[in-house]
Amino acid sequence: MDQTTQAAGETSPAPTFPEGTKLREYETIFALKADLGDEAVEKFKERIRALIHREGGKVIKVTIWGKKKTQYELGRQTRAHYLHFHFLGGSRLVAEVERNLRMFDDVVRYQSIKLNDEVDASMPVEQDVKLAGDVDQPERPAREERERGDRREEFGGEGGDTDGDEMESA
Amino acid sequence: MNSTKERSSGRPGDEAGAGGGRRRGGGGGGAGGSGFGRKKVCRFCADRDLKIDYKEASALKLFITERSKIIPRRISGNCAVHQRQVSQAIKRARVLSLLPFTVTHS
Repeated sequence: MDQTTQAAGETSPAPTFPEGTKLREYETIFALKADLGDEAVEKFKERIRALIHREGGKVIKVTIWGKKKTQYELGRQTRAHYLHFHFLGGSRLVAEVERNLRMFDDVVRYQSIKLNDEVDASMPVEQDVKLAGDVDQPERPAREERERGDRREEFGGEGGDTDGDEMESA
Repeated sequence: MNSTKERSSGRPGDEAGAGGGRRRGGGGGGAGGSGFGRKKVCRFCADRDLKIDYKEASALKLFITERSKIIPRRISGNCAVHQRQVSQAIKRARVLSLLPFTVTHS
């Protein structure tokens, strides 16, 4: 898939367009498996950037949201790396990008949105941003059994029983 | 002789003596029509700086119930245009797992 290998940290240069060229503005969000390391995520980011440039598009900004907790399982995992690409391109570019994304096993979800139909291709390129993602929450300490036992004795039974059978005698 | 014919308008409940004292709802009634509760204003119309973005799950959480269902317009107070935008944003966020589809996900 990658015809050219790039040195680590080297990004493919954005193509230049003739003055007055109008392109469509898109944003695509990918979710990658959480067990990927930061280097793998960076490498993936550069591959997609090179792909967009190769297909006649222009990447405006890439934002790495970091590892976030998902609301339901994606790829049997509850966390995922999220990447946000903001780019310009023609109408076929998104289809090509998504076609390539489908081939990666590490991509568990992607979604592309068209923001604008006609945007000037001379839109300035912005610096990539990397966010921290969800901070790992410390595990809640397990409730001490002694506390539970005290509560049961105090209230005389299991709490939360709403059957309304309080009047019934044992 | 013709008084009853003149009075009746053909609509049920409007006939004289039929107990049709039913009142029509007044114009501009609020939610429920009973007069209780002030009329809600679309927060997005009131503040033009507020943007609806599917990427901001924390903002969209205000428009879903505990069971992750989209809150209807009559309760959220949104106007029709913004309710559609909120709905679309919630559905996009659900695809990306930024918002849940339902409350229980095995």
